[in-house]
Parts: sequence; C-alpha cells; structure tokens
Amino acid sequence: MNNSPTASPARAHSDLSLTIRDEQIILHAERAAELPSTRTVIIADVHWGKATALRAHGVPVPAGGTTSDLLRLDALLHRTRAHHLLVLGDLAHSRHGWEDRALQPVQAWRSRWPDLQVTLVRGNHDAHAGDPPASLRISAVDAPLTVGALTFAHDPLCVKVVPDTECTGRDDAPAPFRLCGHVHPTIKLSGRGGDRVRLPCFVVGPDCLILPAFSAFTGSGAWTRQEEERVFAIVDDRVIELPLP
Amino acid sequence: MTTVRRSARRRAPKSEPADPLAAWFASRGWTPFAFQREVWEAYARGESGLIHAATGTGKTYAAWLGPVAEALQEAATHTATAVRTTIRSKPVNGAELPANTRPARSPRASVRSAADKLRVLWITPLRALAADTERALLEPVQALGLPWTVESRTGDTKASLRQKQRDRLPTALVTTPESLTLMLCRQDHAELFSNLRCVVVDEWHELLSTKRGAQTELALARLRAIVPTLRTWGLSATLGNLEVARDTLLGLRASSRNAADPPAPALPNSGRLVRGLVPKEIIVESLVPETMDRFPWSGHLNVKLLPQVLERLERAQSAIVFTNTRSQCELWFQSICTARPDWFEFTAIHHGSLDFAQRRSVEDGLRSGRFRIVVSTSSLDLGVDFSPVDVVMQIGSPKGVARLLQRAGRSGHSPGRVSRIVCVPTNALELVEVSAARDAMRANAIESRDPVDRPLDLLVQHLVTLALGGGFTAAGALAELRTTRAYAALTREEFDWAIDFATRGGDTLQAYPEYARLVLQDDRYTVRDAQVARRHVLNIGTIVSDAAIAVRFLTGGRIGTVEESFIARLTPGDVFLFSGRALEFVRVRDLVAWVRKAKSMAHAIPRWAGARMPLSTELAAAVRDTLESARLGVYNTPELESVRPLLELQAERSVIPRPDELLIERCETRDGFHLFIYPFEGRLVHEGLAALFAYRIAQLAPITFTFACNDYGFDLMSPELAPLEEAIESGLLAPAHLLHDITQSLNAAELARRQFREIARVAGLIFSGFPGQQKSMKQVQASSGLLFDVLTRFDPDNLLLHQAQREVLERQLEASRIGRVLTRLSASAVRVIDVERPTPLAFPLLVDRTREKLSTEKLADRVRRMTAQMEKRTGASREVVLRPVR
Repeated sequence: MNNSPTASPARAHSDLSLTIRDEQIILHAERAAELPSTRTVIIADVHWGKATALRAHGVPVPAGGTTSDLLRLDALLHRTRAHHLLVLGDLAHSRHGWEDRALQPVQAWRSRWPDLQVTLVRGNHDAHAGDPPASLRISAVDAPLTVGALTFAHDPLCVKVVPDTECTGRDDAPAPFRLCGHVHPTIKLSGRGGDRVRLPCFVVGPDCLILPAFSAFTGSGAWTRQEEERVFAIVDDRVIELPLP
Repeated sequence: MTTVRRSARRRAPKSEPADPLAAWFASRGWTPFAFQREVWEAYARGESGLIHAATGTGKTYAAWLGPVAEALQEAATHTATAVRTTIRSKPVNGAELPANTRPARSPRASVRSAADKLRVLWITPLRALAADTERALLEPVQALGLPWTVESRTGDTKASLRQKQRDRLPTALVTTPESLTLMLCRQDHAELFSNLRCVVVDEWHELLSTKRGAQTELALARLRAIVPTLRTWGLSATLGNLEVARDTLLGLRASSRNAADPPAPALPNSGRLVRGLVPKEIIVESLVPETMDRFPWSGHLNVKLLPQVLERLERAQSAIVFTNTRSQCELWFQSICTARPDWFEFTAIHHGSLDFAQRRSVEDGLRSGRFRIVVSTSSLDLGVDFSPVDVVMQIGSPKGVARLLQRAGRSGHSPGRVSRIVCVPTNALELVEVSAARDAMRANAIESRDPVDRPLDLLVQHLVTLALGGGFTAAGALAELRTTRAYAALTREEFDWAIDFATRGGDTLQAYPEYARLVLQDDRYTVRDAQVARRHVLNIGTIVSDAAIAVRFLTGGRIGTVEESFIARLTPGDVFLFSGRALEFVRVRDLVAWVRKAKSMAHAIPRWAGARMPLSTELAAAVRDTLESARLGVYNTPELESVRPLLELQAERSVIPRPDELLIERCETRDGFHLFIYPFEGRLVHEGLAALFAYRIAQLAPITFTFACNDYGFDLMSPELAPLEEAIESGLLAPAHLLHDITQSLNAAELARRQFREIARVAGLIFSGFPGQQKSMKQVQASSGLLFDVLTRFDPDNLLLHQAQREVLERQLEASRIGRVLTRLSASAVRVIDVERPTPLAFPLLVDRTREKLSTEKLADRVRRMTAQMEKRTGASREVVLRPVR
C-alpha cells in the first residue's frame, strides 16, 4: 500500500486522490484538500490570532504559531499552483486576530500571493471575530456555498446544508456533497505492545468530507468512525487511508 | 486528649506565665505535660519552634496557650495603665520596613487599639479542620475570661462572615495557606498583620513537601517582614528529618549574605524542637484470608475480607475504617451497608470530596456517638483531638510507616493505653507489605519529607500577590524571597526571568504590550488591570488540585465536588458511586456536574486520578527484607504464612530474587513482548527507571515501548522482542550519564508534558474561568498539553518548561534516588528468566491499564504496523485506494 508502482518518486509529499461525484479531490498532508479542476485549495479552521487572543487574556503564549501555519500554506500553494483558496470557516480565532500585531504575518503572507483569490465561508468563530479587513482582499460569504455538485460549509451539521428529504419529498435525488470543517477530527490508532497514536485526519462519508483543522494550535476531538466512512490520516508528510477497524 | 493525672515534675517559678493555665488544666482534671510547659516557657521568652508527636496528644494546647498566657499577663499589667495600648499600637515603624511593606493607613486603624487586632494566625492544611480547631481554641479562651474573638476564614467560610472580616479580623484567626495568601493580596495587609504575635502552622508535615508548603513559607516571610519579632510554632507528626522540617518552617535570617548572587547560604532562624509524648505501644494486626485460592493477586477494589471486617466491627463501640482512595472508601461503605442494612443508621462515610456540611455532621456524629462506624480516606487522618475510637481498621497496605503510626494513633488515645490497628489486605502482595510495615515500625524507620526547591510557577504567582498587596521593588522582593528555604538558592537570573514572565510573558513576548500582569512604575511593580487581579485571586487556590466540579442533583441539593479529570471520563448515563449513593451522570455545565439518583445499583466505581499511593523508600526496603526471609523459607508472621502459597508459586515459575540480584522475567503474551523488571524500590523510582531503561534499550534499535509500574517493579512491553542482553552488555544499569539519559528519556516519554499541567495552572497559564462565566471564556482556554507543545516549539528556553522537567526529575522520579538505586543494581547480579506464564509478581503489572510510552521508531513505521494489524484482525484486507496523482 505504501509502494504503489505508479508512485512518482520525485514528490516529497504523498498526496491522495479521490473521485467524488465525478469531481477529483486531492487530500494533502498539509491538512488541506484540492480541487484540481478549478485549481482551488481548501482549508478549514485556520484560527489566526489564537495566541494573541490568549495573551490578551493574560495567558502568556509565545508567537510563531500563525507564521508557521502560513509557511505550510505557502509550500502547498507553490506545489499546487492554486488560483483560489477557499477557507471553510474559523479563519480568525477571535476579534484579536484582526488586530495589528496578529495581522502582520498575515499581511506579509497576502503580499506574497497577490493574485490568489481568497474566499471565506463564515464559521462560528468568524461570527464573533467579524470579517477580515478589506486590505486582505478576502471575500466572505455565509454558509452554504454551492459550486457545481459540491457544497461548502463550516459546520457539517449546519441546518441549511443537511438535506431534509422529508420536506422536499425528493429522496431519490442525491444529497449535495458537502465539504466542511469545524470538528477538527483526529483518529486514534492502537496496536501490539500497547502502542497508541493520534493523527489528524480527513473523514469521508457518503455525502460529506470533513477536513482536519489547518491550524496546528488547536485541540481536537477523537473521531468515532461510522461503518460507511473512510478515514484518511496524516502521517508526517503522507496521507494514508486507514483500513476498517 | 491530655487526661493524665500525673503531677507536674517540677514546680513552675512564680513569675511563670503558665500559672493560670495550670489552674485551667486543674479545673478540667488535667495536669500539663512537661512538653507543653516547655513550649509555653519558650514562647514567653520569644522563641519559635516545632512540636512533634502523634495526633491527639495535646500539641494544640501546647502551641495555643503560650499566646493566651501572654495576653493574660498583658491584661493584668494593662488594667493598671490602660493608656499604654494606644501608644504601643505601632510595634513596627514604617521606616524600618522594606519599601514595599509600608502599610496603607486606614482611617480606622488609629481609632482601634492594638489589643483587639489580629494577634494569632493558626494555619491548617485542611479547611475541614478549621471549625474543629476554632472550637478547641475558643474553649480555654472563654474559660480564662479573655475578651478574644476566634474565627476561621477558609473557602468554606460564609460570605457574610467574610464580609465582616474584611472590615475587622478577629483576635485569632484559623485559616488555610490559600486564604492567607489571599489576604496578602490586600493593599492594607501590612496594617492587618501589624499586631501579629504568633503564627501556628498545624500539621506542618502535611504541607512540608508540597507547593502549598512553599506557599506557606512565602507567606511567613511576608509576615516576618511586617513583624520581625513574630514567633512561629509548627505542629508535626514525627518525621525522619525533623530538623529540616523546623528550619523550613522558621525560615532563614535576613542578612547581607543572601543579597549576593549567587546567594551565600544563610543561617536558619533559631528555634527549638520539642518532642511531645513518647509514642505508646502500637499493635499491628491483619485479617488474613483463610485460603489463598480465591484471593486476588492484584488490584485494590475487592471486599473478600468483608465478613471478617464485619465481625470486628460488630464488637466495636466506635470504629474508623481507613481506606487509601475515595473509590475504596465508597466501595467499602456500600458493602458494609449492603451486608448489614441494620447498621445503616450509625454508619457514615467521610472523604475530602464530600460537601462540607456532610463532613461536619459525620465528625460531630462520631464524637457524639451517633455514628459508630465511619469509613474514611485520609480526610480523617488529620484533625484536632478527635475522640479516640475502639477499633481502627486499615483497608489495603498503609504504604508508609508514618501513615501506619498516624492511623493507629486514632485508637486508644489515653496515655498508657495500647493503640491497635487492624490491616485488611486487598490483594495478596499487600500481606507482604503489612508484614514489612510492622518490621519497619519496630525498627523506627520513619519516612522523611523533603521540602520543595524554588518552584518557579509559584514564584510567578507570588510576585503577582506581592504586586497586588501594595507593590514591591525587585531588590526588596528578592531579599525577602531568599529568607525562605524554598527560594534561598534562587538566582538573580531566575528571579529576573520570573519578573519578566509576569510583566511580559518572557522574552518571546516582548513585542506584545497587550499581555501584561505586572506594571513597573518608579521601581515598583504593581497591578493596574482589575481583570488581572480577579483572575489571580481565583487562581490562588489552584495549587491543591485541578478544577473542582460541584456535584448537584437535578432537583437541587449539593453533594460535594469531584475533579474535572474524573468527570471528563464520564458520559451521560454513566452510574458512579459517590457519597454512598449510586448517581447517574446527566451533564456538566458551568463547573457543575448534574446528577440524578440511579435507578439500578451499577458496579461503576469512580476511578479517581492519581489515586495510587506509592510505597515509601523505608517500606520498600522493608519489603525487600521480608521477601528475603520468605526466600530463605522463614515465614514468621501470620501475613507471610498466609501469602506463602503465592510466594512458593513465584519461586516455582521463576524465583524470589535475592537482595543482591535484579530479577528480569521475559515472556510473550497476546499483547506483545514483556520485560518484567523488579527493583523493589517503590513506584516513583520505577517510573523513572522504566523510562530510563526503555530509552537505553531503544538507543540500540528503533523500538516502541509502553510501560506500567507498581511498587515492586515495572513492565516494558514492545511489539517486537527487545534486545535485552545487548542492552545489559552496553550498560543498561550503569550509573554513568544518568542525568543525560534520564532527561532524554523523560522527554521521550512525555513525562514532562504531563507534569506541565500543574505548573501551567499555578503559574496562571491555564485559567478555569470566573464562576458563572465559563462559556464566554471558552475561546481563551487552551489545554496544558497544547501550551506545552507551543512553548516547546516557539519558546524552548521558557523556564516553566525547565521546571516541568526538574519537577519530574526531582520530585516525580526522585533522580538522586534513582542514582543510588542504579549504583545498587549495577553491583547486583542480573538474573534473566524466560517464563511461560506471568508470575505472581508479574500479574499486577500485566493487568495495569495505565501505561506510558517511549518510542524511537518513525511515526510512519508505527502507523504501518498498526494498520497492518488492523487488516489482519479484520481478515480480508479491504482494497486500499492510494493513487498517486499527477
């Protein structure tokens, strides 16, 4: 499984491609997904300025988290040559994320990617933090955002995107496929010798893909896997699909 | 209590202040003990000291009546010249004090006379003890006609009384270290304490080796700076290192020596060590199982010996059944009441998580005879002279000689009578421990408790306290800190770092003005932000434990509190035993766990974190001796005789190791390959050794270990066979490079990350929120684990990280002891035995579910192995889609 004959040896990162509703979706170890057909990179739960928010409340957290997250994003944007960046909610952790100090590394990052189109689908944190300042040139929209066969939202359980077949009476029509964030999924593995690890992961259900949190400075809930779900874990610089438990 | 009728050996001189006391004693039919007189006389001469004796032998009045006698004498003098009190109202002149202690003058202060201001502070480690203490102190005061007020101020004190105390403190105040620290946060604290004569620290042995002990030291240093003539008396159980205990309590002399950098060792304040009553005879008995066949090899939650326990209790007029953990306590209470429903009305449960009112009613009931049987944890270990009981039982091993003595002392209080404790083992190996404990007790091998060494998290907290309490200068604060033993060796560098951390959050945060707890203005550090002050005040109590969650019925009614970590493991619908009732967990909201009565009595038992007490060094050594006697075929106590079949099975499947050899048992089970290693040094040392051995073996080849430890040894488990022989060849047991290897190993095993939880809380990095405001604070909470990771990555020089490491090294793992153990082990013969089945010694380790981890393998390799196993388990491997793209 790890040495597929067609693997391109030149790539440092091992990405993983899925076809969902005739759309190719690539899962990246940088905690991001990509839609190659529209050259779009998708991330969720970015939480810019979380450290600043904590400091403002007297919790002495060092800076550096946001910058390091942005460097990871740079690497991915280079590699994929993306035209669009779509953020599935929680771009800023709180309103402190838009204060000058927290904004500096973000502004620098934006100036490195002047032609990149950035869209934010608002999440629960964004509701408190407010929209990004105009200088960042990020367009913010409310969930859900539908493009073709795919729907984008922050919360996978957001009422507006969960299909209500009883009301529409159209249970024959396929539910739209959702790409979401919000839950920061991680998966626990265990094995012989009592070994255990916990890995950030992508969860793919019949009509929903949940992305891992992009920010490394976030807590996470262990995902309880359902029968029909596929789980793709991030192991250092690789994405691997986990066998059924 | 002090009920001896023996007459005093020597006549007191006429001027001796103790005379009215003797009269009061006589009125009660008592005669003061020689040690009580010794303390009163020393107090009258202005001396300080430490009194050590078993609980309930009159230590309380030894310490308390000195200040009482002094007041009586003053009153006699002052009635003649009543005017003098106002002249003497300022015993310390503001100019003599360090700048930071200058009292803020309250307009009322000049009106009130010094005589009725706070004179005596009584510090008790448990707020549950405050009410009893208050009552005991009040008795002679009233009898002797002193116009004193005695009150307590703790977390349990009613808001109305606290409000009253805000304006006016009583003459004597019973309080806890936390509440005292809170008082030091008041701007006018120097004025509050200006007439203080004496501080008594009760149960000092309980505080000594904890951060709360260091917190007490800091508070005492503050008080001594305000009142240089302050007398300090400590009350302690007998310890192996009483001089250290005394010197730590009394602090160091303020001198130019401790202004140097690094500070020169300063002399301790002089004080006396007073020995209380000579311990009476103590008899340690055990209930032994009739047959070993069904008696469990491990665990501590069995009630096999219940019938024998009931038989003993049947005959008792009053009994305390001590347990080691709250889960044990709940279980035994439940079992006794189920077996004997007719006993229910006079049987009670007592532990630290229960609601204050309930604990009080149990204590009162025990005294009045309403309750005949009380099942308790160490919450009844301490306490002012409880009425003695007929029968004291100890469920499980006492784990230490001092604890055995303390608990035994609850029975047969009257001098000359024998104290008796009945031990009830809960697993086979505890029989060995009880037998060993009796030997150690006879050999007088009582444990020492070492004071803590400059905890920087507490220092950061204390600096904020000083800043709130009127502010401080760097030089003044450093000099004062260095008069405590805990911070005597504090370097200027560490001190500056702590100041920096409290003002800016450390070097990495210099560019962030929004983060600031302390503000520097004209050489003085103060707090300006009201929110910082509120947060700090709420954080002070957090040294003791993690956030306490109140347990309440949905229908109303508070039952007690439990740790957040316990509630976190429950899911709604879970049933747990608490306060002798089966409760169904409904939900947790705003620091309240809502419960309802469970419909069925489930077997769920709370599994409290950190509930296991480690074996003390002294007892561990005694266990080695006891096993050696068994190896030689000498089964000379009832306990050893009872556990004989098991030890013989051990010898049959493997061996009972000699004292000069290290036994390693190797075996494979379904879970993996095990190395069971038995140094018999107590769990704390084993945790360090396990990490060290795992690290050293894993240097030879990439491997992943998980390990479990108990008091006898540890189990290193790995998915593949570990290269043990090769590791022994290359110095597995060598004391060389110990510090390096152990530092590496504890990082690899993430032990420091775990320790960081407490440090982060004390230093104010984690904040559990304002009462009733949790939801809005959620966005500014971060877990300590996450903080540890962020600090490690972006601020690796943060001294709190270093402290986490040091604490694990020195306190958790007892690094120096590990060094001694390695020296012993490296001189021992290593005996590796391949066993087919786990032995009696291995079994408890095998079933232990709490394991640490250390790995030198690549994450990808570990994940590959785990996924391969998952596929093997599910049989046919599912087709894996892994298509490289582009």
